[in-house]
Amino acid sequence: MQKIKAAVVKFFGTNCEKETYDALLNIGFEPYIINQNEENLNKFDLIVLPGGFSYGDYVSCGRIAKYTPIINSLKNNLKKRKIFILGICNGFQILTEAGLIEGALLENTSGKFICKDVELKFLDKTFKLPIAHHQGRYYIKNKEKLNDYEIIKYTNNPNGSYCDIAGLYDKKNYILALMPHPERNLTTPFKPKEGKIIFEFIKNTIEKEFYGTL
Amino acid sequence: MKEFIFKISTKLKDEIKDPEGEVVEKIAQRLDICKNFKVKKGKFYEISILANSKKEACEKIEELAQKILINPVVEVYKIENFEEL
Repeated sequence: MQKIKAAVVKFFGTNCEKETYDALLNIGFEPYIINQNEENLNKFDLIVLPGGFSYGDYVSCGRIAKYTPIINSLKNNLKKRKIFILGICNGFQILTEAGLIEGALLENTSGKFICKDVELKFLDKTFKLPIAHHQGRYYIKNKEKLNDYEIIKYTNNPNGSYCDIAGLYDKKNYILALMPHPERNLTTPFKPKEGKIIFEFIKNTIEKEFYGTL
Repeated sequence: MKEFIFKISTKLKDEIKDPEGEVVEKIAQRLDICKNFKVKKGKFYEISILANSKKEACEKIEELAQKILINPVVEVYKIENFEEL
């Protein structure tokens, strides 16, 4: 079977594109790194907005990136066809700013940058992934909208997120956004490989829902 | 065309927890400056704009603030002052 083509988007200031590319390669995707001006996304079934500091986090995290051509193109693609979007850390912040995921991400309650491994729960699985953020406290005003999502939860909330939310999966539109970094626990030597839980979930979903082959 | 200068402040909505503001409150209490007060951290922008009228300038500034300076889900903005040069 042909490999799933995945695009990793490098904005100015993104710095996790290489390990995200390696993680996708490791799981069996056919990854490409593209930049924020790319508008033709037709050949890709998965678009990844990786971690980093897009546009230096100027004004606010993800605020400037949401006005790039690729985000506009993503919105158009979502209206026309099935496309899976993964936002990791800064990618999650961009998706909330762009209105593709409900809510917002605010400064951690501690006021500090938090960099450590955290335990998570998602789809009856418990696993550990690293977080590294200053603005990861999830906030949502209309709580009922959370019914549209599968939730990735912290077992020990590190940043004051509402309802222990570490990430959200929009089942209807195939958008998965999370603050932890699955790519860092997949290809980094001497680290556990639990990041594959997230990437294999995406691969299985695309094969089942887009291709009907699983 | 005339030049207008706007001074705009942004901050989190009142109902949203502001950790930096709370730290300022705690330190001020520890230093015995004041006991009962509230601090909200925000940002300040000074924007110069060319427009045909005050109305046009205000409309452009409001669009800019809504789209770029704040996230309407969690933040608010206020035009503190403006002057026509």
